[in-house]
Amino acid sequence: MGYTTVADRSEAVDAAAALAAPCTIDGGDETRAFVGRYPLLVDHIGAEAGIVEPLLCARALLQAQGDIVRAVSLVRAWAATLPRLANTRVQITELRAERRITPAFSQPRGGQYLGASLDYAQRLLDLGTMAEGESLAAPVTRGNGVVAPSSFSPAIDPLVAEGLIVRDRCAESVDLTRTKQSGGRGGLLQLLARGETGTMTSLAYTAIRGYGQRQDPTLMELRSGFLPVRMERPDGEVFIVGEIAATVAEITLYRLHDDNGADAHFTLGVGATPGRVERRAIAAAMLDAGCARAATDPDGKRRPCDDEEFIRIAIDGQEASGFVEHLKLPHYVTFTSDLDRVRAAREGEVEA
Amino acid sequence: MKPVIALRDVTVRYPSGVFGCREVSLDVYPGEVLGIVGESGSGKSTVLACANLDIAPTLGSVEVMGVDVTGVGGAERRALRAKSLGIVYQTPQQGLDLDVTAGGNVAERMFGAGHRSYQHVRARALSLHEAMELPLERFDVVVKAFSGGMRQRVQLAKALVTSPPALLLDEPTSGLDVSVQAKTLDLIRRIQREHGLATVIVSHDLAVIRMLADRLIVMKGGRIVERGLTDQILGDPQDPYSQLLVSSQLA
Amino acid sequence: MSAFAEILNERKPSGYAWAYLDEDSKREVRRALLKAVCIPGYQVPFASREMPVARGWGSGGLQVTLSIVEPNDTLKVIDQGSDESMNASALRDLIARTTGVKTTTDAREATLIQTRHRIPEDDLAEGQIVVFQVPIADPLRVVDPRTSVTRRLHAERDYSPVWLYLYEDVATLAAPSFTHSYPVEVEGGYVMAPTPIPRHDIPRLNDAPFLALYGAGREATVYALPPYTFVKPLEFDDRPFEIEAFPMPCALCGAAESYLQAQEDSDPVRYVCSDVAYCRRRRESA
Repeated sequence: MGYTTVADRSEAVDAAAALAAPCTIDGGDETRAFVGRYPLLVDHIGAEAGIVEPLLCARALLQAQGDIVRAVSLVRAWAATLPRLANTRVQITELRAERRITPAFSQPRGGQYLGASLDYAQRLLDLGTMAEGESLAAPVTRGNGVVAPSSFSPAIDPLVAEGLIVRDRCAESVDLTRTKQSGGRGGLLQLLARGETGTMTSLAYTAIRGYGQRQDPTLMELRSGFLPVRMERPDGEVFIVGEIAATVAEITLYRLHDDNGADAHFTLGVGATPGRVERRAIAAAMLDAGCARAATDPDGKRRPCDDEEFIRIAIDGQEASGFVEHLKLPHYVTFTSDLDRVRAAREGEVEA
Repeated sequence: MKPVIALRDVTVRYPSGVFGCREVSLDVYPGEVLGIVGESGSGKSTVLACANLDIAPTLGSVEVMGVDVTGVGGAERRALRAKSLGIVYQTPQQGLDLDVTAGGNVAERMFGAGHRSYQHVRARALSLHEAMELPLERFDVVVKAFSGGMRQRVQLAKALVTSPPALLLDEPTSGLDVSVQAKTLDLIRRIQREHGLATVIVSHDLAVIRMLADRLIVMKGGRIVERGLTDQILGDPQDPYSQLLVSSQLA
Repeated sequence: MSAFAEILNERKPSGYAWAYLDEDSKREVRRALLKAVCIPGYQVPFASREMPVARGWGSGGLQVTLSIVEPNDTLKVIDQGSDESMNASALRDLIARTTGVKTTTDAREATLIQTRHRIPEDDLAEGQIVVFQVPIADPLRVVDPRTSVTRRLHAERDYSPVWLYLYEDVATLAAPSFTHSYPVEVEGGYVMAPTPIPRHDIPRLNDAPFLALYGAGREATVYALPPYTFVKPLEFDDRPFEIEAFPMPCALCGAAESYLQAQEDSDPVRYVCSDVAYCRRRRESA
């Protein structure tokens, strides 16, 4: 079956989707069922752990309650102390393909094979039957049942009172999914709240690792729990509509010297994320602080971790992965144009 | 005769409150070289930046060819610079793209002025390249590979390619070897005379000033403390600061 | 049933709004398109919605098409010139399912054509709209990755950096290094990214009878060329723009001026039209 020459698309898509559908693995235990149900997630763990053992990876994911990074740690640590028995080699041309596409060529020798892939299905969320719809709407009780006292006052309050930390930097509320403005700091915070976790973590890492301005960050406070959500009525009255699970982090960078003449102080960065993914909140706070610091020196050198313009481009996982993976789309028309140029240039060289 | 460049009571105050320069007035006429001297922090670079329209004065006005161009920006500024002003910066990176060929750096100014013929632009850039005594075989070589002295010559070629009436030089030879300095200054003097360019040269080095400038102004703390003919000031400085400057360098 | 459950139930595929997008989203795109048509080649930002195709896979072109499609339109969707491409099929499927419009592979019949990387070979007419899928909206991206910089360059019509880029190519490589996506100058002074169409298709944009709309979903930008707009590739007066050359005509239909595609699985390699429907029609009527 060809790649672009299939007249009846739906057949090919159904076939690819069928191959990609989760399957039940015999054996009946939870781990095997997990591998059958979430093969791509299991592969993801294995790749980052550097080990090809699906059942082990599934086990790690279950133990880590779905935290990818933790699952990878479990597997890597487990593998680290095993004896190395032998060195092996692979020859990539020997890969026995279940799937093979050639975006540069429309009709390569051997043809194109879609294989098992979800690439060709539209990304429409399947909400199932009416009954399922009803059940999706029913609230989920979160939390571990332990209720911590909610009367913690923010840990940095004394320092704020002393004037060493300025808490409320301007951040106008903006909905980037509904507006084309970049939204200043408010927009940046929203981007960070929705940012791709790995990207944010990497950028924050490079900052601490030395690629940013000297920052020496300190995590002042991390809070995880439930955040009341407020709404304003047309008559101006504000009321609480409910709560969401959330995590908030506050980071400071100390600053002794300021070109603008400000006294020594701490720059505050705030990161927040719905749910309980702590590294997201911490990374977001780091990046917010780094950008705030960089903004005081508009002409200063920028590195990715404190370059707000760079961060805004890099941080959205959907844009990043979509564009990277779009390379799988056919590109034979454009490649033909490239070939034309390269061949012409070589002929020119040969003549000269 | 109208001055090519005129600053009238120009004061520059930065947002932090620091003054770049205060109440500076100067005129530069065709064919003459005006030197601006002072130590670092004296405001001489700020004055040059105003003349090049890089900075807009907080108070006062800037005129080019008799036209008030204070605060002009955007496309208008670009067109004005291409037509009327050539500048050589202290560090080549400020004026050139080091990853671009010598010819390309010069050609870019012509594209900015609307030229669209490859051969014509190339030929004109080449003629400037040769006039600046740069080796022919380096015309299509990226500037990164050039020595400091050669980079300054590329800047000169770029500054002059659109035949502007004014040339601005910011410490054009600092950082160069003494022998290279001498050659570069010779070249500047020659082209200045050939083309009758109204020239402003900023330098902390009085030897450079003595060689090139007809008149000079001495700056301290953002203000002009003395002005006059070069020979007069260097020979018989009146202001105490000028005296200090002259004696420390030319003693 | 709870309010949320009601919403969930309304959102099943069969229950989506006509042309998928809600009215608010369509309004957002249409307003941006109106502005774009008034300023040929100017990049107009818009609040791009998350779509059921990945970013980079046509979400922008899709938003444009869904915002302007009308019930009596006849739709053609192509990718690399082919109606049968998986990506083109997926997009056509979504649009057709949510609108019920007639679809066709004949470019002469279509009133609305969404395309990736090609302009159909057939002569198009007044009244037709071509929607281009855009990967990189800014032709100055090669000069600087920062929108903050390129936005100012466009505002000042300061295109000397891209002319310099061309100069350097000619001086050091003997020819422009742009292959597809060749930057064009548009009537009114803006330089525009024509999308990765081959050089072969660039002359078709000049003084074209059709309306050209460009949608970049990931970059949240639209731009447009109204019919009969002057469009010229950036070229030196004395260095004419060159289109791709092929060693032989189409092996299937004999077309000598069509953009061809090598087929490596035949020996010797043969060349066939990339516009599959055009080629097939030529063969059938021959």
